[in-house]
Amino acid sequence: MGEGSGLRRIAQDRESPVTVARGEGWLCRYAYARAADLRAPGRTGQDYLVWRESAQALAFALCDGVSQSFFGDLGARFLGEALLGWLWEDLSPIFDPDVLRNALVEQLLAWTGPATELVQSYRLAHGLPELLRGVLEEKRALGSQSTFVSGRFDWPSGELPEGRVVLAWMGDSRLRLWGPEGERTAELGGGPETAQRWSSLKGPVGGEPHLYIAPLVGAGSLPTRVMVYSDGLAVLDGLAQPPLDEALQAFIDRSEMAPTSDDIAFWELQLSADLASGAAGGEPVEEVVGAGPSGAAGQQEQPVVTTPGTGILTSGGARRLRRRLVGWKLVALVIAVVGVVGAIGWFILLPALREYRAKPTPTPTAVLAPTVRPGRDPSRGRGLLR
Amino acid sequence: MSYDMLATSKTPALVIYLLDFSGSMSRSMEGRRRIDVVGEALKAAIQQMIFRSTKGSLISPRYHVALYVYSRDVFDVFDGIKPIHEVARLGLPELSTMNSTDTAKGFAQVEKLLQARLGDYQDCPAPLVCHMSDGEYTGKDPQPIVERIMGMAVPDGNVLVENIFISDQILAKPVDDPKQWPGILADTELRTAYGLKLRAMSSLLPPSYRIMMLEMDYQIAPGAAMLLPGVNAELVGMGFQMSTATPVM
Repeated sequence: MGEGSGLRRIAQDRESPVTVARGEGWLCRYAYARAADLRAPGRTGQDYLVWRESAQALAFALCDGVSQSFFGDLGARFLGEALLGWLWEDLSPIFDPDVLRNALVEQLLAWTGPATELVQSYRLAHGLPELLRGVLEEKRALGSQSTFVSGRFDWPSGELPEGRVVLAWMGDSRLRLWGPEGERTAELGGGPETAQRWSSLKGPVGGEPHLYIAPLVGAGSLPTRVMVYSDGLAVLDGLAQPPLDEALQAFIDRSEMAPTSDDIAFWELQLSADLASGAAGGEPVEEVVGAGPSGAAGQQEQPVVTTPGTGILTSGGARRLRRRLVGWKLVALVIAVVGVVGAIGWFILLPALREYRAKPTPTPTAVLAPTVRPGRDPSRGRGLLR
Repeated sequence: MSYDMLATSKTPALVIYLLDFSGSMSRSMEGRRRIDVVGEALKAAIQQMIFRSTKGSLISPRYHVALYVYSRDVFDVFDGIKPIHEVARLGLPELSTMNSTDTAKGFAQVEKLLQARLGDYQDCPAPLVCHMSDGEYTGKDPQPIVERIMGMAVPDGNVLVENIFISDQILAKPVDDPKQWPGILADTELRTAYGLKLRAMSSLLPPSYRIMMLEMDYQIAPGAAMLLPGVNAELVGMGFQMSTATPVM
């Protein structure tokens, strides 16, 4: 799963329960699940999810291979890698949508060459039934196809003082945005388009790719949450707010149980207000939060905590992270208890004592005023956690 | 009765083919034997089902298929209902013609199958019976049996019956371009009493099927009957493609 250099390729041959990765100023959730049809025979899922982050930027690609094309997983994997490479290495630091769209279209067309070679050289297994082989050769002639949603987030820097986000997509995978005031998906213009996709044979099909470009900070800036998922998780479409981790895992499990079960890839990025101070980037930490169906987490690698440039810490790191989180919760609890005790003293005991003191008593009693220390907001520093 | 249930591996679409292999199927159509044209159209329909069911090289059992051929007797080619991946493995057999056309006996076999197995398909798309023949029946009138079959139902809708009639005798006007042909509607003039009987024995094309046909570039009109005059190989092929038009994911 973790591959160093901040690169994460999510395996297509197994389930990845809901997992949270945190960096300075951002939090990412992701998950992957194959269609029920593909699990039992141990086949590869046709969705592909890859992302990469550093102290300067974060980029991702989520691709949904078209099952009625030639090995959709092949097209999705090729396109995901190509998009991520382009976003990471070649994206110009500009805001002009026309220039960026043209550059992307040029790439989508240029990739048809190597992709077609890949499709043509793909060897079908021996012993396939003649009827199936005929169908697969028919599909080979049509090429491999995939939808995609991809993007790059540049943290504020000298070159891009307000930072930048570029989102590009084609097809019916979902892309949704939220800001502090609610959902802002409408700003993207138009919804999922089932006729759109990328083809290894033709490049963009069904129109040109959509593009969204915005600064990360400042007035009219980017929404604070970007959620992307393949159509296998269409059950989320009706939700006004992103689900909590456990609910998200439950939606994934439920979708996988449905007769219409399809591959699921989910990726979400939450950005904090800290971005405005240029505090994004830094060392991310990661933890698995969803159990997944049938104890899927148990079938996975141990939860990993990746620190780019320093290798991978395994479950021990995750445990330390959890202990640290538990420690903060205890501190917050103590502060809350002190606050409640203080309030009781201030509003109940003190008036009673004043009343008592107002009466003539033979012996004066000293009363200490309740002391309320300024408590730390338990959500501070964890503003991205829900 | 919406006919919008998707064919999936958990809710497969049942398609029953009932094909007339009487002696007249040896006659020529566009330089080939009718039986060969039908065999090719059937193969194309099965391939279409495989196409729609394949992820990588895995065939999801989105379709279940039964194949009966009849003449004087009825033969169960697949030995009951088989999921599409099994059909792909078995392949399609070489078929040869026989003598008479006992259509009623063929439909009686279909009715018996549905009576036994319809309960297994309650949460699935409504089953479809695709009957192909090139001549009038020689045994009992099949219409009462067909009406009983059309009266059977699952929540998605009544069992659909489609007829492909290989003949140039039923339509008053020839079909110039199958891709632009609106189909046989309620007011389409039919030349023979058997044509009228076949229309009565055919279900109306559900809107969800029509959408699939439009996607296959057939301009079939709303309200068309599931009755295809197989005057050429293209229309025979269109009829078999219609049998695969259950909506899929």
